[in-house]
Amino acid sequence: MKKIVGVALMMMVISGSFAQDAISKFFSKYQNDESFSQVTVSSKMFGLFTNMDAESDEDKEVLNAISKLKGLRILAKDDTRNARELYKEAFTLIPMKEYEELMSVRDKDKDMKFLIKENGGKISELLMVMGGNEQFMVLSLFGEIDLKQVSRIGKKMDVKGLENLDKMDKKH
Amino acid sequence: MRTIAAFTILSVFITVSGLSQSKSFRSLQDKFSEDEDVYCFITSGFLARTVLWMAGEHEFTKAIKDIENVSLITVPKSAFISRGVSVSGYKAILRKDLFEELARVDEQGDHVTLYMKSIENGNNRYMVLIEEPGTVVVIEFRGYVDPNLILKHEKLSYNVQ
Repeated sequence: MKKIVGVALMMMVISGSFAQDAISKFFSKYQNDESFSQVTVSSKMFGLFTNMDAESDEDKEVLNAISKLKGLRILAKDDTRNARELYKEAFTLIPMKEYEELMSVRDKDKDMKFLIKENGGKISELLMVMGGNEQFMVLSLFGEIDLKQVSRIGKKMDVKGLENLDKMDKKH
Repeated sequence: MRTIAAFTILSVFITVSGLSQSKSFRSLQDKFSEDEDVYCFITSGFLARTVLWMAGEHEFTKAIKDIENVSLITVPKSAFISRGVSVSGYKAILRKDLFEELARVDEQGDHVTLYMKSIENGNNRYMVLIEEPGTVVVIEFRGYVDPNLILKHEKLSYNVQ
């Protein structure tokens, strides 16, 4: 019995690490390409928000939600002609089985998809992929994510990629 | 008398400023102090805020309102090569000196990394490592920085309209 549990745990760990690698694969493919911009925010940075004073209960909830985040990665390319191709390529590298599509937006300027990954009933990652006429962006926010707070987090942090999360809030 | 007073104030200022630097910043200073085109200066938080205010960086000035000291050193990449050391090696020194990475931005060949070393009384140390194609700039400051304003800084924002 112990062996079965052990093997099951090992399988879960292995499948988890493969999923992580698939996302990282896209980032690592372009990390040395200087035409791409990259932003990485660590859990330490998000942890700093736990010590901040909140002016209202709403602020307190947002700060609490931010402090549970473990990281943020953005890979973006501006003024590019192949933004749509990069958008398509992203979905060939993202293990779609691991994610659930939350929302997609299509307009004349851009395509945008929000995907989430759940672990034990909690959202552990929010992925946003955007391909426009001249812009491409992948944003991965991971940690313990409260969907009700994501648009407020986007506003509070003012990371412009995250402002799109507001659309998701309106949808729910 | 004025000269003596000015000299005393300056000596105290230099001593205090010197003490305000971390071990890792001092190691960089010691390593490259005799090299050509290496510039280093240490200033008070007040002076740094004044300069930033004059440069129109009002948001950033607000973010560092509780900063006590600022130290800056610029080292040409050629100096790193001639001494057989590397920026990644310096990053390892920072980690050994308990600096933790807060955020990193890579854009158009420039790499900016922000580190922080937590100190119990909130008098934290921050290190900004800017790696440009030909130069490495390291800025260290001590005190409290508003994390909200760091995240809102334009370098971390991408316009995807």
